[in-house]
Amino acid sequence: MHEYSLVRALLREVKKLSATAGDVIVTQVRIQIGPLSGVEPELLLTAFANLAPKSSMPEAELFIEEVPLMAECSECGTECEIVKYRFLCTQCYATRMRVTSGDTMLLESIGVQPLSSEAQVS
Amino acid sequence: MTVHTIHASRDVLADAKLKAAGFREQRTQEGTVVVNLLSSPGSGKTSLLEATARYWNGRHKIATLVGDLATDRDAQRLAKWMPAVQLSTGGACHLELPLVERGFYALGSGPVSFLFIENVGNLVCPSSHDLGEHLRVAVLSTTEGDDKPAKYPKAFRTSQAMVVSKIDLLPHVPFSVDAATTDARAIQPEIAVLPTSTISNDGIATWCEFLETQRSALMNT
Repeated sequence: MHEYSLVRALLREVKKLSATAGDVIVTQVRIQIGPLSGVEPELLLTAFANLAPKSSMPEAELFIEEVPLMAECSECGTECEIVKYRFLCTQCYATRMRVTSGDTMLLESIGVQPLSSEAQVS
Repeated sequence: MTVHTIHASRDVLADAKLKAAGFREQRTQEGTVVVNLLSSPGSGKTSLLEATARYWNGRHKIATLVGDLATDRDAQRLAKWMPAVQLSTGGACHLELPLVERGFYALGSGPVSFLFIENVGNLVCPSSHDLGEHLRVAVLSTTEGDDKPAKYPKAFRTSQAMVVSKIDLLPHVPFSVDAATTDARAIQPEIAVLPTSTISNDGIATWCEFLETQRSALMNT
């Protein structure tokens, strides 16, 4: 189970990204994963719930979008969905294909709130 | 309360992949091919490395970094044949580059032709982590069943070769090399399939020649 190490890497990226916005609190973390990302959503959520507070992001909530596995044919350039891990172009039936999405864990975006507005509410 | 969205669309492992690419490039400059061996526990990775060293008999300088959750037994076994450093993960299920780099510098063997990384026995987590290897090899033993490529697609999709180990047991186990090959090639059409036995030594020469061919190709580009 390597979800903890992936969440640590995710939180490092989130920190770098939120730092570009100044004094903010992170409330949302949106990621995309796919069939070849090698991660289990439930385990990711558990790891995130455990590690986010330790990274000074107790307010952060993780949103996981699951995307299909897509690949581009090296012969004809067609991009198609790869079903059941069968790498076969739907147009020309070539098998040499480059994965275009669904094999990584992508930090899509984060939602942040200014620290000041948080102070006004509380 | 307004929530501002900051877009990134960034691979969480992008930094790690960049560092791995740097490690790979440094080894290329030194003439070293890094080979990352992935498999379930007990597939015979250590035996394959012993057989490789035995076959080459000093023809190539080689070294191994061997990952396990505990003990240095594999490193002790391999030390008879080559410089070997044990990477104890302390419970972690896979190797990551920082541990590999520490092990590499601890080897102190100088440039080698092949640096083998024997990953922690696990077909799941190690497949997501680039260790700066030039070649990733999935080892599948005949006792595990020929359905493993279909069950663990990422390990085989990201590998350039599949070593089918323990083929001396084929008469005794329900394993079809053809079925495993068909499934592996549906996932990774270009995967090289190398049946081996470290008991009978069948296929060991072909495996070693495969490594030499890959090294020649990598070093000439």
